[in-house]
Amino acid sequence: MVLLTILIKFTRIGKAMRATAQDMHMAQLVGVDVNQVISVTFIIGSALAAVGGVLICSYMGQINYYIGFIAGIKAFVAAVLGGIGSIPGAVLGSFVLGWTESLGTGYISSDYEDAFAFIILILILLIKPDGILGRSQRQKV
Amino acid sequence: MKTRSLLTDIGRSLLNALWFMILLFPLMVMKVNVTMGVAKVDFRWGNLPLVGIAAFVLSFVWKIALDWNERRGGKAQSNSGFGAAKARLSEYFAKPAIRKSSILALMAFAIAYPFLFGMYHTNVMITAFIYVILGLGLNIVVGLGGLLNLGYAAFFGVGAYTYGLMWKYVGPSFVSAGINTGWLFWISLPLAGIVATLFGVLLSLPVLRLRGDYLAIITLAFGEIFRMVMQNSSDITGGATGISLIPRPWFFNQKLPPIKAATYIYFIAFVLVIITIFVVRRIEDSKVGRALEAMREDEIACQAMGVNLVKNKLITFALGAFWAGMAGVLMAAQTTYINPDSFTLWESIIILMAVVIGGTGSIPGVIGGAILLKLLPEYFRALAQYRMLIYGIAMILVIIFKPDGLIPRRRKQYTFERKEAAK
Repeated sequence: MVLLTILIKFTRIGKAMRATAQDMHMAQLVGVDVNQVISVTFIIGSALAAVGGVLICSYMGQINYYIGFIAGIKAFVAAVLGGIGSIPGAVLGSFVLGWTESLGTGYISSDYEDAFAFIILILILLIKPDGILGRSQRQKV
Repeated sequence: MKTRSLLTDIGRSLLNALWFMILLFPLMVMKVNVTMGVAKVDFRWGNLPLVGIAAFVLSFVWKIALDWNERRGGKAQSNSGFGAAKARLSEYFAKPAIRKSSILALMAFAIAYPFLFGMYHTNVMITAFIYVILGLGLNIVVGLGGLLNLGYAAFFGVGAYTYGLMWKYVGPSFVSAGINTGWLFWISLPLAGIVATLFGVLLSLPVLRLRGDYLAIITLAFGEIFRMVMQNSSDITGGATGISLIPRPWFFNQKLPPIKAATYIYFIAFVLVIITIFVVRRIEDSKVGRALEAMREDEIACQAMGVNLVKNKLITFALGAFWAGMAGVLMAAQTTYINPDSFTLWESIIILMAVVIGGTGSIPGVIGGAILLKLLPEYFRALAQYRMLIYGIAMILVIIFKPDGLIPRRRKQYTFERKEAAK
């Protein structure tokens, strides 16, 4: 997380990434190689996902080819929960998601394991539409 | 110039091939054999050139196709012979008489379809029709309103479960009262639409303030919660085993044998499709439709012009859900069996795919997309396990070469004819 924050906040490519996310055309105009930035983001993202995959299969002890589907959805939920575009938000979102799921499974009912994640998501987005740590973006006209 | 670009293309493709050979090396070449507790690595060197050649050819063809695509976009379409033919064809179809007669021919074919082909084909076509209704319903939400809905299968499920639960709880009293159970279908059809609409309003309440990714994930969450509730409340809905032996609709007071029932459902579906097309077309041109379109283009500008966003979003979700509910009843009646597994996220994605591939916002596009999406995998069954692979590749190709869908939406154009002012 620290490394990722440093990468996004302080390096050249991180700056380029944020510029691309904000406005692709504008970034291109000021000399950012947008295609390269997209490639790099995908490389970093895939690498992190692969690390997660190795961890989960050493924890579960078995794999199948459907394993990525629900994990991908949950990762998306966690990112939205914390606020898209905020690294601490993503970490916090994942923690909240994981805890609700395991506590909910333990204390309430194990049938609704996945439902807890979604219910907490809906509740939080009702109160804070930009996620827990997401900054609300002002709309420009 | 031309040859040089070709040479660089070949060079690039060679590089790609090399890259793939390295990347796929552990998968294709190395194979670990565990015999009697001893792991031995087999090197299958024969696979390496195969991977290389395949990657080279694919990458080269890909380059050429992309080039062709770009050039096609640059030129005016009518320059090439193909474009001219297409233009002439569309001109030909624009004539009202021909247009009308071709639509009539299509209708006649659709009516004759269950009598010409067997029960299997009729059933496949019913499924396709159900997806056409679903696609048109989702098109209201995604195409007109511009709200990405990933939980659409939930409304479909609401409809199906309305019919299923009606059968389970109201059915016995029907039987004991001596009324035939075939009427249940006709009661459930509007009821399911209304119940689904209520759910649509329910869902739209939390999403009013959200947009983009947040909206997509909330709708997804709603869909998954619905499925889980259906799966786990086994005392009411039967849980994962679902509800079975749901009656097919009766032809007035007559119970139909399965073959005739399939034909009957086919016609019900067909009529519903036509009603849906009619209604959606009317919605598009109505005040609400215009407001929705404005909302899709720019919410803030839309609000500034005095369009009530909250009301419009509610209407969008409610309308979309209504058709899904009806389609759900049809589906329950056709398969006579429902369980929560029919309404997963995957189902929502397939419906969304039908809309996107056909052309977001265009009615003929969505119809074509839905029919294609349901018929292709059905008739590709001969290819067995490769059919899903081919299906996926076909989808990717369509999206890359026709980013607006197969039949893209035509923007409304108004041409003013100058009239001599009668003074």
